[in-house]
Amino acid sequence: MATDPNANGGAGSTDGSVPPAPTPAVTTMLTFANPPQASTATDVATQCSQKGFTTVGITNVKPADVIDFSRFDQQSCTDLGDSIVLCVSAKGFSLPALGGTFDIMRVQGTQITFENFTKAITQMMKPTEAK
Amino acid sequence: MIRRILLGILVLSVAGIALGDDCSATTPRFELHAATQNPTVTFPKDTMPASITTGATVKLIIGGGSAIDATVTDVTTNAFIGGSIVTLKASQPLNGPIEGVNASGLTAATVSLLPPAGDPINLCGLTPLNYSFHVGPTVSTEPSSTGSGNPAGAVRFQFSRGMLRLVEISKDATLIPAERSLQEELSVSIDTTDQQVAGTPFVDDNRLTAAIRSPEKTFGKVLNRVRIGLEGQFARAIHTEDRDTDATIVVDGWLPFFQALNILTQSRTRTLPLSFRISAGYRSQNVSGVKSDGYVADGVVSYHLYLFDHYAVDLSEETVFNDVSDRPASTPRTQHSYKAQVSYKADPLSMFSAVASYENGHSGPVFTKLRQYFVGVGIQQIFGSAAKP
Repeated sequence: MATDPNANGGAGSTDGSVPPAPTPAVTTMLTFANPPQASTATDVATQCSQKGFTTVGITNVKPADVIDFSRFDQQSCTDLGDSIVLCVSAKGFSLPALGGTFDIMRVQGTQITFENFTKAITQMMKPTEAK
Repeated sequence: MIRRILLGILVLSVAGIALGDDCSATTPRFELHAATQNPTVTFPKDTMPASITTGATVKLIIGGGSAIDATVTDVTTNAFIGGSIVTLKASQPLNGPIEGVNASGLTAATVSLLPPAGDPINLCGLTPLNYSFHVGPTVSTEPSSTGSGNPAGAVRFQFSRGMLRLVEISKDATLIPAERSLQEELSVSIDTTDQQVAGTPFVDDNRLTAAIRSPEKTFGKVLNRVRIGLEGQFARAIHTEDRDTDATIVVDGWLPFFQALNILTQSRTRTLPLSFRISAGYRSQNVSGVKSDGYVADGVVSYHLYLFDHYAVDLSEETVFNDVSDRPASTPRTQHSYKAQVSYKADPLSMFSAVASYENGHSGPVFTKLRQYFVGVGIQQIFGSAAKP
């Protein structure tokens, strides 16, 4: 039997009953089934970067704000990286561990705008492979 | 003989200082991925061997122990600093006990990576691994024939064993690992000789240290990543009755309400907010038959602010309270010390910054009054380039 991948939960019904209307749960599942869009990746990177900085106590970061890593400590670098990685993973993307990168930026005394920070995160994000 | 012991102590001290130092910007970092727990190595620009490619087999050597096989599952170009981030799949979990290896669980432990071709690469460990380490016992004999001025010879016994481990107490996958885990530390250290050379004291430094720290906890915008810890240390000389016991409770974290200020700047620079560390405890000492005990406390706050686009100011204040009986007359009951440091950078990408610092106040049992000025040049970004703002 041919199936329509875009059909909702009633497509496989064999008992002749009326297919049920799509529920919010089914709609959510269909959303996850579609590959993330590029704009979604940027949004996710921005949201998760904001969340990461909030995790280490830096609140209300604006795109033009310059982040000064030279005043970070090593644990904050790890916490920032872990927070962004977990947030991105929960939204259908993957990132490698970032604590080491931020620790090197700390030692180098790197300053970077939040806008460029999110661009770098976006570049490194990959859609999670469907299993 | 004594010179050799002192030399040994000096070497150990230097090694200890080296371990406690920051890793350089050119050293690859090792950590466990927060979501998958897979080992990850971050290679700075131009440091990754060409033989490390997806699918390649490498070996991880932790604390000098036996090699653990791992496969490269992903190589991601690092958009922040250049270089690559390499994700591995190890043949055994690294966050559980690893039996039969002499290894350190300390953050600064030696972790090295053996690529498919070439020499092992030393890594800087960021994730405390969950196993014990064991160095020694080391017994060294100094024969009388060395002519070191100690005709009797002496045996020095050194033993050190420690454990640092993370105990996961929450399974909430939305929390970062530092918010999910308790941290436990336990270490025993013995360093003594069997004979005393005339006119010199024994080498006799023996310590038992234990600590437990809570997971990080954030309370809205009031307290950020607060940890509460209990620390205890018991030091005891074997050849005399000297002893020193400390039991301390420590609280540290950040206060997001006090964000880094920007004064008369065109752009806004952000960094960690005001940080604090408070410790309070009880100390009991017996030194050369003189017993003393009492309460001790210590508080430190640090804060950063930015001025006129090119200046960064780092401020810190420390208050030490010492109510131990029989403390030296030169040691006040309460001491305050302040430090202010101003750094100037003409360009954020510059590797040099001019630094001036000022320190004032009482500090420690030796200096009853400290006032110190420093003007110099700080160097950053010796290797690699900073991300452009």
